Amino acid sequence: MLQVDESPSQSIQSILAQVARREPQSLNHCIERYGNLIWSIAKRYSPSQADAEDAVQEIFLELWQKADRFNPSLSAETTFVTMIARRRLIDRFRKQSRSVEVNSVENDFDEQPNLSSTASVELIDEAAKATRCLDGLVANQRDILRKSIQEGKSHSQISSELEIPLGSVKSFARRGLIQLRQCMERFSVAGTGVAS
Amino acid sequence: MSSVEANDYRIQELAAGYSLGDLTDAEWHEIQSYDRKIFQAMVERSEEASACTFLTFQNTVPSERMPAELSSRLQKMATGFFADDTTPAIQKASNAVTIAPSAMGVREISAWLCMAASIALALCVWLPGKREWVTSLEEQRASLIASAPDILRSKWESTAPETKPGTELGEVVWSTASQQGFMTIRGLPANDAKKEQYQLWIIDPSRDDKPVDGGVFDIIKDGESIVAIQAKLRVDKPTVFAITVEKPGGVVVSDQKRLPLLAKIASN
Repeated sequence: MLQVDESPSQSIQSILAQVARREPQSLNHCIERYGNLIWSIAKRYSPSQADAEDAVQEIFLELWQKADRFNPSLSAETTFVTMIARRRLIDRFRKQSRSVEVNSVENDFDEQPNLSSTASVELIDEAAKATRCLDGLVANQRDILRKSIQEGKSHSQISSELEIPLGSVKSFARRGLIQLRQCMERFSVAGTGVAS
Repeated sequence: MSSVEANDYRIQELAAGYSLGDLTDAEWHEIQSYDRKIFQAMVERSEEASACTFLTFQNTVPSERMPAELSSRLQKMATGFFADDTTPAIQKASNAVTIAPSAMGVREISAWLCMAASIALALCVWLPGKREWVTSLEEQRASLIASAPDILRSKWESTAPETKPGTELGEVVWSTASQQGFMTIRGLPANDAKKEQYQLWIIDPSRDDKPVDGGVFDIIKDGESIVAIQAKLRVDKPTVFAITVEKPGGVVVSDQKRLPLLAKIASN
């Protein structure tokens, strides 16, 4: 399930807004609330446990530094946190080595409950949009995006696992992400309802 | 599909590749041929879609708890984060961030050093009320100089007739810790990107004898240009930065027939 520890008091107010106001306990609240989520992302995009731990520290520091730039009217706080985390991890990977494959610390894909993507609509609005839009993708695109974005696997790993040519994996992933983005933007414009 | 539509789709495709972390070297070069603001805006939209997608998938897997030891380490970092100028953990002076090692362990210091540079160099800046990529290269360069503890600087020397005589040619700045750098260039003529482009090379004898590709770029106007260095491989001990003129898109190995600017690092 979504790894955001949200106590009732914390859910009322943005944690990042508290960090931006330099409230004494806000950083610990931030760690409590987003620690598991950021750890989950870091594990999937890091070649080792130590690397994942270093990445988590970097991500939190960046998050605290950029807390004042979060605007709740533009995105959910969880989305903002995820964007910062993913960008930091991808940059780390690119700088460390552009030729070394990233192996996830742990592959729990096979252990996932077999849930329909529409079974998880309840949490945040933006994830709900993504859920509906993911359902509009062809199965291959959805699988490739899951392995790339959620599991942090390289295209060559995905190519090998799914026995699809590398070029096709890249093409499916990019086209899938473009379709998702366009679908989610149509949702945003429409306000409610299902994007076509 | 019209050429405008094809161009627009290509930008979307490259932005998706950027968000997925799968751009090739050639595509990194290609990005530089597009309007920076348009591309960055598209990247931001792609990254938001990627983040939402991650959260959606993540919602279907069992929760994982962060290791307790890591949590403790984060809490220690948090203790020093709001410290003011008099506290030992982190001291801020103007734009610079300096570290007081006694307050943190090696791991924390590494993270701080890394973040001091990376925050300064972050590609995107979020502003309340609107989403924009607003950090100019000039600001990024100034932040790097202010924050990087290992900044290297060297002035360009003219080695060919391309440069205008008597011109202050600018300089290169580089931080090995953050693997980031910028070139300030004056006096190089604007190039026609369809015919030729400038390409940076970084010589790092600690790697091997092959120069590292520092990225292809264009000079689009007279006067001063600031260009971010896009080193394609890690650079540890750079000794020379050299700019060559190459075919559009750059080359893998330069014949160095046209090498207008050179900057030597005095000591390393």
